[in-house]
Amino acid sequence: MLSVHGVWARRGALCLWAEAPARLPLTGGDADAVREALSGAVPRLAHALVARARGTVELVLPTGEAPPSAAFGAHRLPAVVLNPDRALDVLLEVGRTDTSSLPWPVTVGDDLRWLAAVATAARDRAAAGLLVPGLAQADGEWWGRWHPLVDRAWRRWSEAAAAAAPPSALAEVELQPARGAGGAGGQRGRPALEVVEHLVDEVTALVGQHRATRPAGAPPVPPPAAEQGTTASGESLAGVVAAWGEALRTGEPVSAGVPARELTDLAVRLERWRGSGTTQPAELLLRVAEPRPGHDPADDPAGDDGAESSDGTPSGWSLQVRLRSLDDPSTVTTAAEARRGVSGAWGQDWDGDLDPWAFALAELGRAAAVHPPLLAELGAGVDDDAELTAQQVVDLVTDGVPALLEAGVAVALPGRWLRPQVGLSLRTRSTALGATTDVPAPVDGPGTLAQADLVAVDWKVVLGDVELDEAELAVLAEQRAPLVQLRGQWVQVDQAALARSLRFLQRTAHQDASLSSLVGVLGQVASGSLPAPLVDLDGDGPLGALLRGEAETFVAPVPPPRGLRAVLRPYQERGVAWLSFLDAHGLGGVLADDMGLGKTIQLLTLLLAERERAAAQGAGAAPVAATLLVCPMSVVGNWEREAARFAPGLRVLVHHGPDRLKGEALLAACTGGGAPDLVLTTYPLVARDAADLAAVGWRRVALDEAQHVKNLGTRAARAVRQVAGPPHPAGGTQRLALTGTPVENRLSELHAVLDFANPGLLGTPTRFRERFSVPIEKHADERATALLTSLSRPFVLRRTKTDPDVAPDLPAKLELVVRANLTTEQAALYKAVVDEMLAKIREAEAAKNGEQRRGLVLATLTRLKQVCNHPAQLLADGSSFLRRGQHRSGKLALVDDVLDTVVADGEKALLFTQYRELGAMLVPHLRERYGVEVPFLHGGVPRASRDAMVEQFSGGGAAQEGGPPVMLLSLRAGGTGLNLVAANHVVHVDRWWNPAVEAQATDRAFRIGQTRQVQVRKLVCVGTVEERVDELMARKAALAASVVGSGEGWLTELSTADLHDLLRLGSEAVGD
Amino acid sequence: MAPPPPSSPDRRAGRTPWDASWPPGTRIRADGIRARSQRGAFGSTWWGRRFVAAVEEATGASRLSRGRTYARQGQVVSLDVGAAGTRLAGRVTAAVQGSRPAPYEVVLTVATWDAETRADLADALASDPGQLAAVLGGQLPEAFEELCLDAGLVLLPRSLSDLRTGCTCPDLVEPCKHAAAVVYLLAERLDTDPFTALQLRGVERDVLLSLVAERRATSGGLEDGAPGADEEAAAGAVAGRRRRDPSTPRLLPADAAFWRGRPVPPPPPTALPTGTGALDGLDAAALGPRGDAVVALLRPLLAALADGAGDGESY
Repeated sequence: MLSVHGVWARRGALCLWAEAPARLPLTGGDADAVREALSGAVPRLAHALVARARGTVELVLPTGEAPPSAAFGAHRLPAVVLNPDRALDVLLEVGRTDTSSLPWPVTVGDDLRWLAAVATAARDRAAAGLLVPGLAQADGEWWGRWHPLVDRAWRRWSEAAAAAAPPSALAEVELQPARGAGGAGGQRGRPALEVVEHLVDEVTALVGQHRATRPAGAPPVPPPAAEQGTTASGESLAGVVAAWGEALRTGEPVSAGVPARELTDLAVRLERWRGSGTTQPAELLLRVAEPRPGHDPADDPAGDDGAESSDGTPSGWSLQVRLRSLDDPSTVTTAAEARRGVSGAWGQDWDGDLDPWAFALAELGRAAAVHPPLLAELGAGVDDDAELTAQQVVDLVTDGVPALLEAGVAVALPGRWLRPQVGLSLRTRSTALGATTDVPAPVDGPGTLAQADLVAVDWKVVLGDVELDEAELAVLAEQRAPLVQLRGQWVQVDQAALARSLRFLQRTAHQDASLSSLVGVLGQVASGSLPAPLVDLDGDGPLGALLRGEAETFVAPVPPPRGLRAVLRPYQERGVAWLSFLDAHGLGGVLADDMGLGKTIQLLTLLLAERERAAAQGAGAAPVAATLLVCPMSVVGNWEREAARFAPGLRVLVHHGPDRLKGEALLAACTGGGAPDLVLTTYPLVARDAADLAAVGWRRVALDEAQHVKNLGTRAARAVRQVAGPPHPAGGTQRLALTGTPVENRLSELHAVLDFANPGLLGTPTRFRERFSVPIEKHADERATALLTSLSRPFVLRRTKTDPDVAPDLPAKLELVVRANLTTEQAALYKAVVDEMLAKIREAEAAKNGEQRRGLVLATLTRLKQVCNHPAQLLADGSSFLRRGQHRSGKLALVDDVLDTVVADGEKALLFTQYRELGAMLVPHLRERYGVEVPFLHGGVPRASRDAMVEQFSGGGAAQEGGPPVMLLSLRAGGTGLNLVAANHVVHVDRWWNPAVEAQATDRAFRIGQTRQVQVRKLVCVGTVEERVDELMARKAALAASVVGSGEGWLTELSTADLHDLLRLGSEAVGD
Repeated sequence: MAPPPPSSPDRRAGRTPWDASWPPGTRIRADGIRARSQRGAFGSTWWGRRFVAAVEEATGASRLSRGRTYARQGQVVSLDVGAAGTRLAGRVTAAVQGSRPAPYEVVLTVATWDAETRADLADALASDPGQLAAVLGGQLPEAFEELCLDAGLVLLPRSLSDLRTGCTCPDLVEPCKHAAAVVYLLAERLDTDPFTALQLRGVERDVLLSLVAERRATSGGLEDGAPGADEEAAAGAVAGRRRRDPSTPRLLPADAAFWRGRPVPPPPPTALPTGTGALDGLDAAALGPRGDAVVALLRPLLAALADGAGDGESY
């Protein structure tokens, strides 16, 4: 019979010893017998028992005599001494073997089995990755070393395992001869927990090292990122960390180059880190307790007299300091209770490093670091619940709790705690009263409003998402307490905002107002003079739709006027209805449809409709006053022509030129019978003639390309306001703005345009900047954006080409002839050319020199087209493109306007001209204006460069992304063959009067691969040969196909008189 | 800095070894602790300024100015406040890189309080524990110093006699610029952790907490009349809580029970909650300012250790 025992010796080794008379290691016949019997079941143990690892172990053992006498004797016994790595093999084998039923002749003692169980648990834990790397010095070098991850569960288990230790496992003692075995106090063993921790530490170090430095064949541990000297966060780490990581990975000592001081420092920090795990069984809990049900806030003086805030009066609220068990978060006690062991698992079982009360105090200190008022609120200490005033509760919840939670301090608030925002909601209702009929049919359907209608404007106070009725609001405001109970919930309210809101409501709650004063109401919102933020804006019927920005689809459609010579697209009809609706209610608006969607025709239709409506009323109705349209000089002619084409019934007066009407004459011409329906003028002239124009009582003042007044400081911007008169007079002047780009660069542009249409709507420029521009442009403030949207959307109608409501109505290709006016410089040149050339032609005619005459006619045409393009092109004198920042060419000013919109929309345009010298003039101008090099493809460009230009313009294949926004092409070189579908705008700057050639050029963009609508603009100058030939060709389509189709040659066959009519300068040519 | 005076043999000969300002500007750059304060005065709290004031009263403006520069430029390569309860208690030891290759060793010394004194402090705090919580939370209330003075204790230095300085540099004047640099940095540490002042006096945080807790429990009648524990017991209690080993080992039974153990309970589960790592429970800040980066570095190593089923047979 062999009884084998084991102890884990202080020197860090497993000592196996046997009960007498056997001695380990076995030798001779015993060894053979053990080998034979055990090598099958426990081969490592069998091998160890006969190993040559001889040593001794010093133990105290019972003498076997009866207790309680001094029954211990010290022994130095022969033993097998195994180093940790070999010991672990043996212990793990014992751990997984049922050693109680080994074949004779061996029994294994409880002590060895206990060590095996501890070692197995430690191995399993380390193998699961629950270990922590460290740094240790041994044999004069530094090594990476793995330590167990000690959390509370493991520490508890270690203690339990220690408690289960058989005393014999603790019997290894340092023999102290002086003392003699068995003192008066009895024999004490080695602390069991020390043995457990010692063994676990050794096992963990072994397993960690073994796994981190796996032998070949096993998946290699990836080299730590430290080898690159950086971490995921991109920081570079000190070389010492990298060297340590390498040592962990290789199992080699830390390389000698690392300074010892840094290593010592790192080792200290690692040890502190390893010990930093949560070892407390509980956490501090700050509990804000609401008044007990019996506590009635109305008992508080503050609740009754309401004269003072509730500061300093008991509110019934309290702040409690508690400890909450981490194992069972439902266990919450005071520190004192935890100390006394009141709450079950704690008390003497409290296993924190600190006494529970001391722990609570230390944690309070940590909490006070992030919320200093805490200690003052708690008073002397942690033991008593502190009474809080309502204001203290609010401050704690408002300021303290977020900081405390951020710092990891648990805070418990009463179940439902709301901190709703005080807001205002605005509802408008149409009232049945005053349903007059002075605005007839188009908007007089069911559920619509007339201008004189009164609307009820209802303000309500909203708390969070609860709309308060007046009684509730009065009660809440009266309490003047920051904490109130509202519909069963504790609600923290901004009493000041509530009181302001109540006063505001008492003043303005239910106003019956005319609809146009709604703008004033909304202006209050924009300027921030409301007592609380506007959170909801709505109403019933069409008005509600307007406020929701849905008016376009909601208002009654306007039947197409009989005088309209065009068929409106559905979205255009909706636009006219919207304009009409605003007009009927004295409101201004901004029609901000994309370029090419037909803003002009919508306005013309509106004018026609209101005149036909007035006519339908019979002779008694007052005539409709004129509409003043202000536009850039370059498009006056276009307006004039479009009006003549689509609404020939409208009388149009163009207010421009040196012969324009002034003073009384203007007033007389614009009022009374026979007055025009539409007066066209330009921004410079409206500034110059502001006083005269203001004297006229306009039906409407409309601004085309309204972005021209985006700078409020300009004379034109002031003048248009002056001419439009005071906002919203009864039956007064409607203000409209038309623009394709309501916001080109800055939000202030929207303010300028919208403020013209509805003065005061968005507040003063300064307030607008504070409340909207800066928050939205600088900080992308979502709330400011939302508010601006809800304020502006009733008054801005913007449809884009890609809107699902619009796109189906659009043709794939939109061809427009756009008319530009000449500048006075151009007009003078033009006139001179005509006079000179006609004289020469007459001479040639007189000389019967037909050949010379033909040549002169063609030369004349060329020179006139050059004048229309740009004076410098005719003069070829290298003079500047602009003069004092102003365009010298009305046509090229229009090109700029078109391209501005194209660029603002992120689209691209092709510019065709037949003149290379014009392209050469445009290239530097466009480069300066758009900050990119604009390619110019003409006959002189080699093939390879052309391909590069096309590639560059197409943005490397991805349309719209990259590449210049504009490409210039000569009609001859660029008119065929190229694929330029990156562009969806085509501008023919000058004309060749050959539809086939122009169509072919257009097809560079309008071809397979084009996914967007293509807009084609053919530019002609008003009152010049360009316009007349264009009209001629349009009128005589058949002729164009046969005769005209061949180009310009047919012109030479015209009689001189006809030629004169064709070439002469019309009085309408000059815009300014 | 003024240009060096013209070098004349006479002046060189007359140079004294304690004239540390000569020759100027030859210090070796170091990348040590950098002061947060980059201009103006040091010590943003009244208690931090008390340490600064003790030194500033005792030495000249030029040394102080250079000390501030040293503190701001990282010349102080290490600074340790001696742990209470060790032989280093009451001492601040620091290494300051000067003009010689080896850094100078600077030692600041304050008088530590004896156990009786510390017990007096605990007595005082037991009646107003909020003061202790405030200090632990980073605020030293003036009432705390008064409370100390009432107990006869000097917490903050009133002059250089309460804060002695020593340095291995050749400057015979104390405090030298190296010591000044250390004091400036110490003041910054005090600004954020006023308990450092108590630690310097030999007071250990957890021991003090336990002492106050014991007294509080007694005076508050929370426990049944146990006498106020002395510091040794409190320290023992702290140590005992910290290391569960009975420091007085168990008596061994002399009978058959000597050989018998009980079954070892099953170990706690090794599975961590999904998405957490073994190192998450540790405070990376203990590793230093870039502790998070170090932990991030270790994470893949740990993950690689844990997966793979081991190598069958052994571990």
